Amino acid sequence: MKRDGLCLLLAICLASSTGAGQISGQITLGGATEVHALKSASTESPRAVNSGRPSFGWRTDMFLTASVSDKVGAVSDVRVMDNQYVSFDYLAIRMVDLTPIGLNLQAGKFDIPFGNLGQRRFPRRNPLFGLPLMYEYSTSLPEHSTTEEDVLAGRGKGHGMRLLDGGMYNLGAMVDGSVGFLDYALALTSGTVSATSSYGYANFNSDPGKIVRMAVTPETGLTIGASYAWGGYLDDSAPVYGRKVDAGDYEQKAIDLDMEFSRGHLVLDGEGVYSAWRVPLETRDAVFKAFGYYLEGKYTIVPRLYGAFRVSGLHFGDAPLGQGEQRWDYDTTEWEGGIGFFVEKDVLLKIVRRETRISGGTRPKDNLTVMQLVVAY
Amino acid sequence: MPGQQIIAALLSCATLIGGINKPLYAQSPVLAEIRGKITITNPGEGESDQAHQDLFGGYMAHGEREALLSLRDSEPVRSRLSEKAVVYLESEDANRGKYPPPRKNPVLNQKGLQFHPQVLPILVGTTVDFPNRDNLFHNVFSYSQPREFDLGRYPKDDSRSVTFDVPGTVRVYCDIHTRMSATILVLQHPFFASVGDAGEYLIPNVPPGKYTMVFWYGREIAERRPVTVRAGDSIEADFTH
Repeated sequence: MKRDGLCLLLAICLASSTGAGQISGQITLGGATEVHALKSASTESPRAVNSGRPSFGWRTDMFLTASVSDKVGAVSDVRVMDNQYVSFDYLAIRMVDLTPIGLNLQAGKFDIPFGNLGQRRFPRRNPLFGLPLMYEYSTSLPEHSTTEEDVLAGRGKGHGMRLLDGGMYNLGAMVDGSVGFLDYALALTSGTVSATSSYGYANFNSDPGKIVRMAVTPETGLTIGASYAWGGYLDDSAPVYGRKVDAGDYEQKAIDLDMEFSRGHLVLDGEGVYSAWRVPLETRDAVFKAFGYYLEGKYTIVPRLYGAFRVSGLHFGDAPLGQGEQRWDYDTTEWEGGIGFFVEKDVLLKIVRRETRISGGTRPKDNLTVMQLVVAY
Repeated sequence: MPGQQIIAALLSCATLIGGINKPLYAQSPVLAEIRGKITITNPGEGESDQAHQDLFGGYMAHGEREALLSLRDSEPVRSRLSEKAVVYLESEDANRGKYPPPRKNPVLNQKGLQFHPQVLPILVGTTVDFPNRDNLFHNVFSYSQPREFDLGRYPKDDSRSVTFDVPGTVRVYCDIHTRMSATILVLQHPFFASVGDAGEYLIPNVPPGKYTMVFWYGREIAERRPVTVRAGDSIEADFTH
C-alpha cells in the first residue's frame, strides 16, 4: 500500500512540476456498457460459469480524460461489473511530448506495456467474448507461498495466478515513445505481470516489477513486439513453510512475442508468452514454467457483420511435485468463434461459442455459449 | 433542303419532349445566383480540441500520437469554415431534374486522424474518393441507409472509392479511430455550395422558383430559410450561427 501511495504522489509531483503548455482544462467523458446471457457446461472447470446455470451478466466502463495543458492530462477508467465490484482500472497522470523525440510519461495505475492486448480488453473492441486463456485462466500456482500438495490439489481448480493478470493494469510509472518505426516503453510497477497490485494479496515486496517493451512497425498494418518483465511476486510477509527464506526474493520472469497484422477486412493478432516463477516449496526451490499463446482473426464479411475466431492454449512445464516430476497444472486448449453484428455504429451484438479442452482432471471438456450486447457512448 | 428542315423540326420536337429530363438550368433562359456569408459566433469544440484530448488517452497504436500531435500543432480546424459548412437548396421541382455527376471525383481525405472536409455535399450518382493521408491505417465505413459500405484497412496514399446512387445523409466513420466522423450530403440537384474559409459561398445557375435554403454546419442543419428566386436575380443571404 505504501508503494501505491508513493507512485501516486510521484505522479502528482511530476505533474505539478511541468508547467509548459497552454492551459486547456477540458474534460471528456465516454463509456461502454455490455450485457450478456450465457450458458456454460456444468463442470468444475475454471472456465465454467455459475456452475453451468443459464446466467445474465453485465459490465460498464466509464472513461474520463482531463487535460490540464497541452502536455499534461489525467485519464481514468472506472469499471463496474455484475458483482457490483467497482474498480479503477486506469487512473494515471500522463505527460506527453516532453522532448523533441516525443517522450511520454505516465504514473499511477495504467495498462502495463506487456503484450498487445490493447483495446481488445474492452467488449467493444474484443471481437469475441472472453480473453485469451493466458489472460483469464487461473493456474494452480497461488500468488502467496504454497506447498507441493496445494499446487497438485489446485490443478484445474482455477484458484491461482493467471499467466497475465486479467486486465493487465498495475500501479507504477512508465515512459514510452517512438523513434521512426520503433516504439519503446519502460515501466516500473508494484507487481509482476501475473500478480499485479489490482488484486488484494499482491506483490508488496522490495523488488518492483520491471518491464521493457520494444515494437517495430516495418510497414503499416504489421507490428511485431517483444516484452520482457521480471520482478518479485511473493509478499514479503508471506510465510514460507518450513524454511527461513525471504519471500520477496522469489521472482517471476516473463517474455512475450506478439504481432498484429491487418489488411483490407482482415485483422490478425497473435501472442506467445513464456513465464517462469521461482517458487519456495517446503524443502527446496522449484521453477514453475508455463507457455501461453493465442492467434485471433477477425474478418468483416459485409458492412456491419464480421466473423471472428481465436485459438489459445496454455502448456505447463514439469515441476518436482509429489513423487518425481510432473505437470504443475493441466494443459488447456480453447477455441472461440463467433459473429458480430453492428446494429448501429456503437451498438454491437455478438454470438459466441467457446470450446475448452483440458488434458486432465475429471471433466476434460467445457464449453460456453453467449450472446452479448455492447453499447459505446 | 426541305429534308434538312424536316430533320431540324423533328429534332426541335424531340428536344421539347425530352426537355423534362434535361437540367433545369439548361432550360431556363435566365438563371440566378445566391451568394452570402456565413458567420460563426460559437464554433464549439473543434478537431484540434478533440485531438488534444485524445493525446492523453491510453492504448495508442503506432503512429497515432504523432498524428494527433501534428493536428494539434496545425492551424485550428474550427476556424476553417470550409471543413464543416455547406449551403444547399431544397425544391421538389429541382429534384425532378436529371443532372450528370461531375467528371472529377470529390475527395474525402483522412489526415491527422480526421476526415477533411467534415461535410461533403455531392450530387447523386457521384463517386467519392477516400484517400488515406496518414502514416497508419484507417478503415472508412458507413451504416447509413442511403449507402452502407466498409472499405477495410489501407495504407497511406492508397485510396478507395464509393458511388452514391441514393440521395440522403451518409454518416462516415473510421472503425479504428472512433472520433473520426464526416457527413456526405447526397443531393438530387447541383444547387449547393461549400463555404470558403472566410465564410463566403456562391450557388450559381439557379433556375427561378421557390426554394428552401438550408445551412448545414458540422453534423446537422443549422438553419432553414425560404427563398424565391426570379430570373436574373443575384440574391444575398447571410447566415449566423
